[in-house]
Amino acid sequence: MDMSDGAVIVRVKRGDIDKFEVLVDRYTTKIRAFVVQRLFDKEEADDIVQNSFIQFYKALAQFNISKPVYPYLLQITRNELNMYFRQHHKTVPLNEDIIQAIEKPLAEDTSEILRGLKEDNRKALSWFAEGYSYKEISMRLNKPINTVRTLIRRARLYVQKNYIHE
Amino acid sequence: MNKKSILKEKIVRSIFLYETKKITFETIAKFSILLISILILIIFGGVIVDIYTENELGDILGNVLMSGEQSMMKIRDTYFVFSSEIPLWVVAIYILGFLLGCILIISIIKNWDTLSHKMRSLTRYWLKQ
Repeated sequence: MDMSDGAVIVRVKRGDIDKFEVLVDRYTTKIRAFVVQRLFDKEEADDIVQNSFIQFYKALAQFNISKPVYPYLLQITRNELNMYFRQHHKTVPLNEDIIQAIEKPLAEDTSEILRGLKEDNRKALSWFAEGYSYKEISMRLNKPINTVRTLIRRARLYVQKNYIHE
Repeated sequence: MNKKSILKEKIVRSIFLYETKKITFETIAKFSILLISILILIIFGGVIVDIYTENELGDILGNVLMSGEQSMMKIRDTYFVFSSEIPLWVVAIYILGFLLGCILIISIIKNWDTLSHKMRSLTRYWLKQ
């Protein structure tokens, strides 16, 4: 007959360490799947799963048997993962376009970037970047809103083409 | 054996290894403390017996069996002799050793069931390996 998690923990607390194997059997697959989703490296994932179970075993004395085991074990695993990321300075990989844009040396002055634009496009884009609305820009340039939209869109495409996707 | 069962086996092994190390360390520490407290009791107990015989305080049982007033006088004499002869730090160490030994023995008796279960589990596991 299957023992409940609480009953297994009571037995382990009493000194029957072999009963811990029941919990290992029950939760290893779930915990490993959780770690592999976040880590990709399966060897490292196995180490983290192992450490999580050891931490759980160490914390058994304080564990309240009326509470479910899985969320508790999952939180321990999350902490182990965070510790791993902190120790290995792991970061989320950046999108390729962003990496290229960062690696490309920035122009010293934005005016250098905008020099290639027509005057209306340049004015519209710089005012837009300063926070003016389309309506305000259209009033300043004395042009209809849709024209302003087109001017800004063309200016953006120019900057994107020459300074990001080049 | 597939990868998952290897991982499970590794986890169980690491738990048993952790518990074996913990129990070994605890046993050595407890045994050392017990040994130290027994040594303290023997050494300082000897000092106290020496003082008792040097000052001819008589036999303890005899003192207890004396009449009320005589017995009280004898106990008072004994107290004066001890308080003047034995330095306070010796008494403190003696009491400390005695308390340490008592606490240790009580904790071992209290956790005897858990400890014996653990020992049985560990022996079973390591013999199986």
